[in-house]
Amino acid sequence: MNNDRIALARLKDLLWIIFIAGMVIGLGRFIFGLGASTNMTDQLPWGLWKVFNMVAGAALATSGFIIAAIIYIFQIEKFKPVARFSIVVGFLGYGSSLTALLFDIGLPHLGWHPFVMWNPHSFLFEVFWCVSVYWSITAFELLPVITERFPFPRLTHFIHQIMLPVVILGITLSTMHHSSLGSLFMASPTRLHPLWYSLWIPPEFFISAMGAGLSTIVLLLISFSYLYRRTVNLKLLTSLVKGSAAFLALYLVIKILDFTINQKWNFVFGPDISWETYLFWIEIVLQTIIPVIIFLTPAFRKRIIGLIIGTSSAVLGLLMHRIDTGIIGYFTSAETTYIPNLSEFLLSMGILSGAGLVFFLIVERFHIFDEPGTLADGHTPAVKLWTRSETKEVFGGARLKRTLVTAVIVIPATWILFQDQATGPFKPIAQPISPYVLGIDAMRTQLRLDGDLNGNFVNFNHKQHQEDFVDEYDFEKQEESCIMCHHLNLPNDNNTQCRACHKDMLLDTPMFNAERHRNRFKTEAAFEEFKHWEEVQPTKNFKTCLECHQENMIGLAKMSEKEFSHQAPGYKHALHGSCQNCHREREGDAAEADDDSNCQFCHLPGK
Amino acid sequence: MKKTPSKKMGILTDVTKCIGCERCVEACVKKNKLPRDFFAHFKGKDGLSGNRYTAIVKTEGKESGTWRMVRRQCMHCLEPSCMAACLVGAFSINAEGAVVYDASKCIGCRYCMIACPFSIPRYQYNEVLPYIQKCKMDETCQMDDGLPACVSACPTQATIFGPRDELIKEAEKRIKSDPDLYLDHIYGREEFGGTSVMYISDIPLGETLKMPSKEKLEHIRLPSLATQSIPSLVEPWVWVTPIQFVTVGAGLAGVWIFNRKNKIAQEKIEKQSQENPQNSLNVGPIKEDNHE
Repeated sequence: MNNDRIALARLKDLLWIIFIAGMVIGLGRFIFGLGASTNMTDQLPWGLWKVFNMVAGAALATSGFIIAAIIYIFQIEKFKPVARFSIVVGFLGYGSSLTALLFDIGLPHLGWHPFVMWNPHSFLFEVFWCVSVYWSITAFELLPVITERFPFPRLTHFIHQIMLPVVILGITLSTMHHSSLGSLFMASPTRLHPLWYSLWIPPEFFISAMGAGLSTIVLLLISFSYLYRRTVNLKLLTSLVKGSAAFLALYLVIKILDFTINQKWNFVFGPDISWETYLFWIEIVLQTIIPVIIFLTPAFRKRIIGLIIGTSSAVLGLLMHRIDTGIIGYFTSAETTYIPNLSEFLLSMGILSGAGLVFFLIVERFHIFDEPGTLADGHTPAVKLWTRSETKEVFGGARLKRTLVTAVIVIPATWILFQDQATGPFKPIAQPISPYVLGIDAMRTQLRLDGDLNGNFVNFNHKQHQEDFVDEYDFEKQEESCIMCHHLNLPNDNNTQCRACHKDMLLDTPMFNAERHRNRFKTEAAFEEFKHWEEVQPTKNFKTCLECHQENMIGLAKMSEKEFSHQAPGYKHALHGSCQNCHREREGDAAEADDDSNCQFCHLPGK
Repeated sequence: MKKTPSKKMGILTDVTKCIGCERCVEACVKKNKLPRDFFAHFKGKDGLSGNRYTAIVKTEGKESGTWRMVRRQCMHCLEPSCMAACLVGAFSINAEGAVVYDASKCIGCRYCMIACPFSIPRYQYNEVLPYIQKCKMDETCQMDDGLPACVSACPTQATIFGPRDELIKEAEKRIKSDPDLYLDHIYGREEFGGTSVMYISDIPLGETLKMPSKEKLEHIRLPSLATQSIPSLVEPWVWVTPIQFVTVGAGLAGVWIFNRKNKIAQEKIEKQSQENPQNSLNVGPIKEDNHE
């Protein structure tokens, strides 16, 4: 007994640490926003909190409604000993799911909107309603467990009186939202991988959730018995896992029918094999094949270790299935991946740890297994009433001290350690240009540009250009002027030669300082000849520039490796915007299409 | 093209005419007063982000080394998936056919981002109170000439604005006039139930626009999406829910009454014969449950 108590105390300490750290992350998320604390992107907007905590978490908490259906509707009294346990699991499972949602949605203070703003066409609308109402129902089902320890016999009696319609409503809502949780992903037929996308998702989600829910409660019962040194009612667990096996096998049959009727076997056995295929195989083996074999073989299912392996495999398989459907199946079409960062994991686990702590409080303080009286007997509350010393035990004393000490250590530690991820402000990742520039000089006076990406870099006096343009256009802020120059939007930057803008040698603009050139050439005739090159050999222009501007030229060989890796990228990054500005200023005068103030002058369609 | 208010409006982009100058992007940024774009972290290859409603995507042409510029923006579907998906109904179609977003309803669940087949809605991840951002195509981006800012800014008229049916006629006319240049396909005419923003091109745009070709749809076993919208594809399941609510609820109540009667009858027999029969059912009833 003592040994296990120590294990339990250690587990509780661990849960407190994770819970407090998770809540610190949660605070950071509310202060600094989602961008700071998560790795979600525009392509993969649903992350760990929604898919793991919400979609998978709700699926694992199905035991509440299955056991309720068996006991209340089918009136099989055999499962009565786990009735309250399964309600607690359902209540905490759904509670933690909804808590995770609170952190996940962008505007949690508007979370009540779906109650008043309806869109019955939305699957999420239905999920939201069902889940929140069902959670209230589990709370209601749990209520007599709490009230029977307090001196409100009439209230307890009243709750029992109206329990049946509430239970029926709860079961109905459960059948609805478990299929709808799957329907959510039916909205993206072209984005979700066909291994997981199907118009059969609703029944698949519903059946697999029930199978895994029964496995979850068996796994929890075994761990609970270990922690509290209680004997395991193997007979009961065996019947539960047989039920689980039935659902899991049914799920496998549905999946096989789905693949056969919709002709999708090519994704499983070839020829359309991708990395998703291997993932799918691992998932389906864990989710159905291992548990079904173990649960249907008496030699395995009658041993605790067999039950542990089988149920863990079913739970793990379900988690994989939900995460594959909700996140990983989108990777290929999104052309990006999502790996949750540490703070996402911590908050996710923190919420579950909080649920675990409430679970321990309920099982230790209330009659979860030794239910007093039965429904048929009309309740004889042979329970000890809650005493004041018990309040002290729960909320004060050694536990409180321990928790406070943990909090004092964990809160600042988490806050400091997660400055980069959640407890610090969002740090935008700059456009690719800055990391390239910083390596050479932080003041950005001199850059090396390879405008046409031919491997030859030129010295580019960024400072000079900045001064030219900033003075010229008199922008209010230096910052603004940089935006004007640096390109607005460069998803796939391309190469633009210097000459694309500098070719205009007839005008004295910042693009081409004609005055400076004129002075260089000394005589007007030489300058005219220089200008003439443009007309004669437009394509060779760059080369002709280099005849004079040799000093701007840096060969690749002359550059150190570090310098090379810090090259500023294409010319377009830096100057394209200002070319346009200058050229466009004269646009009003230009009527002809081949005037250089028109974009078409330089840009030709399809070149 | 002049606008007639009652008609469904649209935008037709002729990829062969686009020179990639990004003046549409600039016009959009200025008109909507969008802040500086630093979301390299969040955005994908298409360049759209919480601060950019439109962007130019460089797409390789028929021969390697040749390029086409494709403007990406909200497609303004005729039957938008985002509108069906949003649980608070924040999306709606206005009189001109534009899919508009009502920020005052949004709770930030980001389901529209999952539901949009073109992956258009973007999120302000950097904000503490973030909202969905996407191309508006409504009066907020109208210039003095009655055109959206992006269309008004286009120097080559590669992107034009007008009633959707007239745009289709115009696209057909252009394709007919130069069948050697254009592919005989108007992107957005029928895909996903039709979109208000359409494209004609000389190179396949399926990948860039995320409009899978017929072969691709056949490959993922959903050929109907070539003409069918996503909301109508999943529509049957929407109606399952209320039916399920009634039938499952009634079924459960029926089973309870049936079992209750049986039990009372059994108890009577028990009393009479003083027997104590064992309940031998174990997993049977659970199986029965899954038929519902």
